[in-house]
Amino acid sequence: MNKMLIVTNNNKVYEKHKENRDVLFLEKATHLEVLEKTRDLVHKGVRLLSHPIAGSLKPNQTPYRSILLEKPAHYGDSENQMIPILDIESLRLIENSIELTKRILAVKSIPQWPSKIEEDFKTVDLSIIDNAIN
Amino acid sequence: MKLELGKIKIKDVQFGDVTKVEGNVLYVNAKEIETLVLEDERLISAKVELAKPGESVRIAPVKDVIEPRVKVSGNGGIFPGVISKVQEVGNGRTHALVGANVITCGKIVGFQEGIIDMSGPAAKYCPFCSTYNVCIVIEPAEGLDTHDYEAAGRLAGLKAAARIGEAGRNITPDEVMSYETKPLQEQIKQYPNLPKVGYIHMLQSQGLLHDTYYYGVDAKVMLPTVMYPTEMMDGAIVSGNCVAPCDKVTTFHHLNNPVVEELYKRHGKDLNFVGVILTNENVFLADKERSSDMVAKLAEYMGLDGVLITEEGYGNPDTDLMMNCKKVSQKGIKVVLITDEFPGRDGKSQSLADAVDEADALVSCGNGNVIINFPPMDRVIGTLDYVETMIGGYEGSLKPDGSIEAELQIIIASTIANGYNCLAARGY
Repeated sequence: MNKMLIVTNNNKVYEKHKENRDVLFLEKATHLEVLEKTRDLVHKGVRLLSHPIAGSLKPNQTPYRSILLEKPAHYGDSENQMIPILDIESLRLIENSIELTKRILAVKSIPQWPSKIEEDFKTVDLSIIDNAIN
Repeated sequence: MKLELGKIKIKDVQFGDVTKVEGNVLYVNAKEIETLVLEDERLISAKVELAKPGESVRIAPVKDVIEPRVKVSGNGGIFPGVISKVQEVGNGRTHALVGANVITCGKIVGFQEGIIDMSGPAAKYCPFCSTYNVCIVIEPAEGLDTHDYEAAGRLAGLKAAARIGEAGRNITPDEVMSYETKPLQEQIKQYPNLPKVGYIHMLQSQGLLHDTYYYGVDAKVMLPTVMYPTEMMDGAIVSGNCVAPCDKVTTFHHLNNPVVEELYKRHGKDLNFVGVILTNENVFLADKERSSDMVAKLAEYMGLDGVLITEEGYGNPDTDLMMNCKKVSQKGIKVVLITDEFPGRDGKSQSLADAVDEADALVSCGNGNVIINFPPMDRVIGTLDYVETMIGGYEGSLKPDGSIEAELQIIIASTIANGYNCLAARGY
C-alpha cells in the first residue's frame, strides 16, 4: 500500500509524481499555506517524513515548498473515521516551521521573481523531494 | 596517520606560457586550463581571469573556491574518488599553493552563488579578497540540465585546481606543518591525562545545490563514519554546494578546516584530538534520527569527553545540529556548537530554526542579515546580472553605477559556520 503523501505547490513535483504517488497539489497556495495545510493534516494523524523547511533556501526566498508525509491507515476513508493519533514530534516541527516562516516573512516578503528564476526554484525543490524519495 | 603539509606561499599570480611556480609567483597557462575544462562537453566556454588583492575587481556569481594542492608522497592523490582514483589519503606529504585559489564562476541557477570583492569595504568580510585568484568563468551547453551543469562546474574547478597544484610538486615549501593522529587506542594512550576531544563535522546533503562528496560518495547516502583529520587536507571532502553564499562551505574550507587546525594547535597541550565524526544533513526525518543516533554512538564508542560540532546551511540543518547536540550530550559528553545566525537585521529574533535545552554553549560566526554597501568596481569577473536575485540581494540592490546594497549573506563565506571568516559575536 502506498502510504506516502506529497503536499506541494510546485507543479514540477505534481507532474512528475502524480501517476505513482498520492499528491495533494495546492496550485495557488503560498509557501506558508503549504505549511499550514500540512499542519492541518498533522492534526488528522498524518506524520511528517521530510523536514518542512528542507533545503537551505529561506522561507522568504523560495515560493515553492513540497513536503513528504505518511498517511495513517484510515486516511481518506470516510467509512472508518477513527480518532487520529497525533504525532507530537511532527506537530512540534511543523508549528516551529510555521512560526519561523512567519517571522522571516515579516522581515521581508517573497519577491516577485522573474519566471526563469521561479523555474530554478521549482527545480531545486523537486530535486530535494526526489532525493528524499529515492 | 601523519601528514606533512608543505606550504608554498604564493605572492603573485600572472599569465605565462607554462603553468609553474617560480620565486613565489604562480604562472598560469590560461589556454591549458581552458582546454582542460572544455574537455567536458557539457561546457561550451571557459575563460580564465586573474584577480589580485587590492584590485578594483568584483567576482560573481561564485560557485566554488579551491586551493591548489598536490600529493607529493603517500597513498592516493588529491580529491580521491573525484579527480584521483579512490584510495585512502591523509598520509605522507602534500604541497599547497597557499595564497592562491581557483574560483569557478558563472550562473548555475538564478538565485544562488555570491560575490567576492577584491578591495573596498566589502572585501574585509571575505577571506578570498586577500588571495591571488585564478577565476574560471564557465558557460553551459544550451539546454543542459541544471544537475549536469552543477556537476560539470564542480569538476571544472577541481580539475583545474589539481592541474595548477602540480606546479608545486617539486618546489621547496616555505613552511612545513606536521599533523598526526594515531589509531584511537594509541592516540588515547599518548596523552592519557588530557581530555579526549572530537570534531563532529556535518556535511550539507539535501539535493541539487545542497550536496557534498566524501571520497566521491554523495554524503546523503553515507552513514556517519569516523575519519582521520588529515584526510580532509588531501581533498577527501569536496563541495557540490551552493547554499546561501555566506555559509557555503567551499572545497577550500574543507581543505583548510579551521576547527581541525585549531584542535591540532592544542593537541598534546591542553587536549587530545582523537578524530573526526563525519555526518550528513538529510531531508528525511528518519535519516536525521538515524544519523544523529549514530553520531552519538560513535562519540560514546570513541570515549570522547567533549566535541565541537559545525553545520552547513540554515533552516533544517539546525534540526540536525540540535539532534546531534542533544544525543551526544545525553551520553555525558560536553558539546560546543559553532554556527552563524539569522536573527533579522536588528539581531533581535531567534538565531536558529531549532533549539534544544542541551545547546548551552555556542560560538557565533556572525549575523548574515546585516546590510552593507558595496562601491562600484572597475572590472567584473562573471556577471552582475543576478545580484538582485542572489540570496542577500533584493529589488533595487544593484544601482545604475554598479554599486550594490545587500545583506552580508551575499558575500561568499562571510559568516561561514565553521569560523573561517572575519566576524565574531560577543556577549556583553
